[in-house]
Amino acid sequence: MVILENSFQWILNLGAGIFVPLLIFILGLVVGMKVRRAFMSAITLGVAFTGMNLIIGFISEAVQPASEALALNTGITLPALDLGWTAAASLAWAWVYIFLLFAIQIVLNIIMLSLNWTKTLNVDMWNVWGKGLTAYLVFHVSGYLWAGFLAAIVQMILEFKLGDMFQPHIEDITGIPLATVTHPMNLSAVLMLPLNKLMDKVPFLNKKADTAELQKKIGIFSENSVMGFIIGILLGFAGAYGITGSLNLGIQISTAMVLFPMVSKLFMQALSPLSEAMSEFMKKRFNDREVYIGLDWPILAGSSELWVTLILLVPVFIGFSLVLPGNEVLPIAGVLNYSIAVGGLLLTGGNIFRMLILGVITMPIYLYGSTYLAPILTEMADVTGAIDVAEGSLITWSSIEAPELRIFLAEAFNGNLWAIVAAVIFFALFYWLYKAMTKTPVPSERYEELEKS
Amino acid sequence: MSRNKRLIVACGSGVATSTTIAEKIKNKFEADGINYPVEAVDYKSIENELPSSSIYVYIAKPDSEVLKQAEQLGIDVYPGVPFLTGMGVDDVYEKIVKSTKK
Repeated sequence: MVILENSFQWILNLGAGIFVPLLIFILGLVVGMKVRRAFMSAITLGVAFTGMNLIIGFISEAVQPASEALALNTGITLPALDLGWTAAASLAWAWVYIFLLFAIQIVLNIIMLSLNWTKTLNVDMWNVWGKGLTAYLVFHVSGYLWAGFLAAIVQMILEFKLGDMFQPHIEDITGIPLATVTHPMNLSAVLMLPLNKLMDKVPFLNKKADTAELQKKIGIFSENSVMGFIIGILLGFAGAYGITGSLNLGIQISTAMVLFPMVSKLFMQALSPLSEAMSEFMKKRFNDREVYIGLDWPILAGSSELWVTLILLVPVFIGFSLVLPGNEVLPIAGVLNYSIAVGGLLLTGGNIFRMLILGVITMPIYLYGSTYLAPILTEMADVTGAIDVAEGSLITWSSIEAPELRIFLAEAFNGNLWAIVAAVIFFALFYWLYKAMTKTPVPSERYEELEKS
Repeated sequence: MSRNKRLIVACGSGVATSTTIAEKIKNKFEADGINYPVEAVDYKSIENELPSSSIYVYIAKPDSEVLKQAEQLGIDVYPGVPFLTGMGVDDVYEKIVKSTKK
């Protein structure tokens, strides 16, 4: 491993904007892409890294002074800049070992399918970045690269099992045969499970409300532009910016939040020939038997409960960030907490009251998780060279997915006894969740309709 | 119709899933010599995206209001998941190709 590390180091020094595209170009040729295509992919990837940096520089310049003004004006210190998942993904794609994780996931999935340890074929290659983030975090905290890889493997196995346990529920919600979701955001259901079991005892919480109307009314708030504008204005006012300053801050944050996904899309464009080749390879191997197809979460995005939860929890998230002691993160680019909304949707079968209650209770985990993550992500930016962070600044991702698992694993490999105990409890709860979800009726058969009053 | 010719694919963030499908469709179009703009968009902005589109490929089934809007605008709507799972993909693609020739 040491030799591997050293030999990679000099290539790394070229910077992520050069080195990763170079790697993609070579990998592209290896999987049989035409030179022209492979070259286009490589350039697009370089543009993605550089574009990401451009927006991050822009939003940092706008938000850093504002959060200092907030601290001066109110005494609330929230120094870590929330750049959301798109920035975390761009850091992960810049990490030298990420491409090994593709191979590991494919091999592991084939082994587990062959041994009938799972029914899920995970063809979602994009979210390999999430395993890269876990591996880096664990490696950084424990100091062992092998521990990082082991943690990534643990996460992969949990994802296959998430695919298995939620498949009937996802098929019920989406109507797509054999489709399932292997995204690690659904691990949020693990800690929610005991609370959800308690709510089974409350008669009111066993009725289902229709949220389609409400979604139509508040849906506009889920648009990145609107959300960014509102947060910017509020931050401006809280920092005593005055009306002109606040409106301008609103538009600046809005701009960054609209541009983040636009640039992030370039990563996907650049990586898609490669990930497509891999998922085709996987699908061909298991053509002759029935497997669940593990996909990314947006197949669930038709549920109005999901959007209503996402939006209604925004003020809760920001409110907590202002009052929780020890928190250092003001949710901005990551303010929509998909983990809670999607995991809650699957766990509760789309019961909006339960989703909101679970969201309010578990929200602090994300703030403390992202506070913990801030110095690590900041160093990752420095090590990979993917994002320039000004000296003394911190970056993070407020709604980091699976914060508890990632932190337990990192600290467990670091030799902390409490974390080992916590990880064991987490796995026990995960097993309970697996048992519970395979027994629970699918969403459409679970609750009686709430009477319209 | 004099409206914009554009195929959009929409997912929850307009980044990962929609781009995967958009790239697949682009490649197939290119292989078949079809010149037609393809774009991945954010489902949250779908109501603003539809008026400048002619074909809409969805990942999660959109709500009835969105479908109604698409119908009023004369937009052809197709499921995108077959492009991910591979099941029934030829069938959907064939229909999309027909739509591009309208």
